[in-house]
Amino acid sequence: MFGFEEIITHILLFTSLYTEVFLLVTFFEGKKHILKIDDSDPARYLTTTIIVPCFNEEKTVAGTIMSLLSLNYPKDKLSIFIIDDGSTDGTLSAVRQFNDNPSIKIFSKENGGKYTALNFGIARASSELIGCLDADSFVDANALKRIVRRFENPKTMAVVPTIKIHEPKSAIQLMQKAEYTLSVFIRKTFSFLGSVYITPGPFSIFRKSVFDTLGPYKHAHNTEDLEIALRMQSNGLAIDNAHDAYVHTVAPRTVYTLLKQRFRWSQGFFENALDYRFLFFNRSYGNLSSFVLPIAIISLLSVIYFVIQTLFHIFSIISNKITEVSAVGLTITTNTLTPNWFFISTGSMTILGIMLVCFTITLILIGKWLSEKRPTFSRDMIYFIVFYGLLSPIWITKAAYNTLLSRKTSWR
Amino acid sequence: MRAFDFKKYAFVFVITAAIFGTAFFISNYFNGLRIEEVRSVENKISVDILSVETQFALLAESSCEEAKGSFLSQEMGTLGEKLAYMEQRLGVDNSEVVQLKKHYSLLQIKDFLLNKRLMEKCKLGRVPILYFYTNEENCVDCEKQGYVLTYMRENYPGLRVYSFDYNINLPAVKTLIAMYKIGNVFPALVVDGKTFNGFQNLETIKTIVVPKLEGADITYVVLSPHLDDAILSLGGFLATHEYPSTVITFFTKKPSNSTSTEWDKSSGFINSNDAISLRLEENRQALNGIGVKIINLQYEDFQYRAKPDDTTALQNKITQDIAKLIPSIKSSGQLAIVGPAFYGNEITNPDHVIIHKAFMDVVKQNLNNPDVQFFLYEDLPYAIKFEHDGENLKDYLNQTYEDSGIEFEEKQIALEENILTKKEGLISAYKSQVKAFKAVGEDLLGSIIKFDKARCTNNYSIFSGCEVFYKVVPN
Repeated sequence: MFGFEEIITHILLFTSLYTEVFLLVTFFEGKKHILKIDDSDPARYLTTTIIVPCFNEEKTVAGTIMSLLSLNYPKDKLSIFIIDDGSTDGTLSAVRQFNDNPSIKIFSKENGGKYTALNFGIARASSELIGCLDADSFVDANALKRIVRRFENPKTMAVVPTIKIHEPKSAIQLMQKAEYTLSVFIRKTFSFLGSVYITPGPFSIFRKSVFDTLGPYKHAHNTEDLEIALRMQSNGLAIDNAHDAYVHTVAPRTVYTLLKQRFRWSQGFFENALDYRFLFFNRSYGNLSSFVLPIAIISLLSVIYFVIQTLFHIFSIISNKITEVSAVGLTITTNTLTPNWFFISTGSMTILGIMLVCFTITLILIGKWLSEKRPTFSRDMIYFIVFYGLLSPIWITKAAYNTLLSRKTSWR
Repeated sequence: MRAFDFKKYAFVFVITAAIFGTAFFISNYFNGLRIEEVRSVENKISVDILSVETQFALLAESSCEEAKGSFLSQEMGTLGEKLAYMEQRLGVDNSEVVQLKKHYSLLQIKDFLLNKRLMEKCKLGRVPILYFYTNEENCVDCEKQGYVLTYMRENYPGLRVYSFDYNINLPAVKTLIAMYKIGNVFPALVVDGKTFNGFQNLETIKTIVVPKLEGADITYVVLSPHLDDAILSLGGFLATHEYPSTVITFFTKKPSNSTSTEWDKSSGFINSNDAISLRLEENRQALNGIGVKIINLQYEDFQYRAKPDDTTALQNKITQDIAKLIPSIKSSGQLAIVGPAFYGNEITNPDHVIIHKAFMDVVKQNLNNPDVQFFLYEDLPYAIKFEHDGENLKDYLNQTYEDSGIEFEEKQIALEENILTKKEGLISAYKSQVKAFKAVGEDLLGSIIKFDKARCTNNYSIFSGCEVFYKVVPN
């Protein structure tokens, strides 16, 4: 009854559905562990250094620093390291205005890439916790306090926050808003599974001992935040998620900048997955190795598969149309204009596709509940459903292609 | 790092499988509804066919109108599309689909047979096409043929397309295949009892089908100035036996004082009496052989007339004669009158000019008569000379009649090889005229056949040549 193509499609649909159900089950299983938002003081304010690496961010860096200065955190426990990574614009003069602030130290070094700026800071830090904040991101006043409370568990070695899009305006930014909301859910669920495998640039906080034990950041195919998390996972160091610690980041505004960013992320993921391939299907690494990482790879590859399939279908529709035009010329047949339920696709693939979309919307709504406590349907979800499927194949396909040919990504 | 929890993975697998199963259940449910719908349409059609058959058996021939009125099964076409969709969705081997398709094929054959009987008795203006395709090999031409037939069916309601899967395991279809000698070349079409192998393009199908659709109940009257002009110009058309036809020849009167002209001499005749007698006989033999009715009018040929240039009175008289014909020739159905086209006074024989002008006068008087259609025919051999000047006759005619409220549409009558051969034989029957042309250094037969062969402007795969009509339409 089914051809090869349909079997593959059904297997991939099953996998996608399985993933979504698995995440949902995990979430509801772990839901009782979700703490109520509580801004009481942590048992102890740990000394913290936040490193802000900047390269040509004169426009946003001041705002980033201001947000750090506004953190509800004892000033004597917080140091801010501004590392200018050889900017060629007015970044350095923009940060000079904070020269007199006792919490802030400004360093300038030759350009060497983000990971070198981070390592530069780590080498000079002596606090219990070390974090990073990209110079295009802004923290919520209570973020650090909420994160630090997670470190009350002595096993927790790093905590990742909830990232929101800063003032989304364009359709592309709104699309990312829904995507980031979905990530809130996914990150929380992954933390339940002990499988957070990215400690994103904006405001992931580590115990200093992580770097002391595992060494500094690596170049890691321009995705050092992914590599350090994988390195922690491979060494059994736990990463928690503080879904109530909000960080706002400026999202790419245009398709081009988005593609460039995502291409770097995707290729970084493929390359690091190759470097850490021993993590796959090794039971000693738990859910990360038996579920999370394989599913991540499968979902990326299935995007490529569906793209090829879609292109193939478009090609076959065009070729049929050409045959028709060559036979009878350009005509409008009346039948195509009168809708009839009989010809509306109700195949298993269509129904499963619709179910997947519904599940995805549910997951986004849960993400919204986690981050905003308002699980309502909004415009950004439509943008996400419409555009994401169109755009993501581009960066994923290009990244997979480049990984196969081992090309290098550029940071900016 | 949380440990691998096999129970949870298994639990999620069960839930996912249940959701997956639900999707399949829903999908199957809808497919079931579709099968039910196709089945109920088939049942309805089968009852309809039975009812028309019964009615047909009960009623006498005189009750065609009732049979026409109750005639059914436009649903047949959409049913076919639905079945094709089901085949695509559920696969060609699905037992339910195969069963529905067999039923459908049988209904088509019944509809075809019923249609055939109705058409024989009632002149319905319907054309059945049997279309055989195959699913077994990748038949790109079948797909194209499908598009052509769908287009035709949508644009010509009188066309009935019955499509059959060559490989269907159904004795009735096998019988059809044997009856019409369908070979292994696909697609294969049977139009009006004739089998065509391989893809037939839109133009070809139109050429075969449209005249049959339009001309179900038409009688053609061809106006022939002299005793050979109808055959020289329209021998192929008349030889196809498609329609009841009459040829009216005008200049067939023996002159009261027998004379001997140069032309008659070179035709091998002693005098005018001899010439007319023998030419009438040539004409009778040629036209009788193809079942065409003959009417000869008594006007004197240009070469015998005392005052050949005084044409006004003659033309008026001929106009009246033609006008009288309209009610007299046929009492029911459509009448098509076909007169000679005009190529300018330099090229055209003066007698042809008179007939053309008289005919056009009649056309102008009867432009709004719904029972009569008017056509000009491409008049040979004059058209050969005209074409030599590199002009387009349609444009020339439209220009000539620019202010008369009419215009001309070109209609090519495509001729199969055997019909063209028949036309050669018919022209050869006018021995005297072939001889006379030879005497002036012209090859009448050869030049006409050559012209016909080169005249089709569409690239027909199964036709060898064309004759041309210009339909008169009000503008």
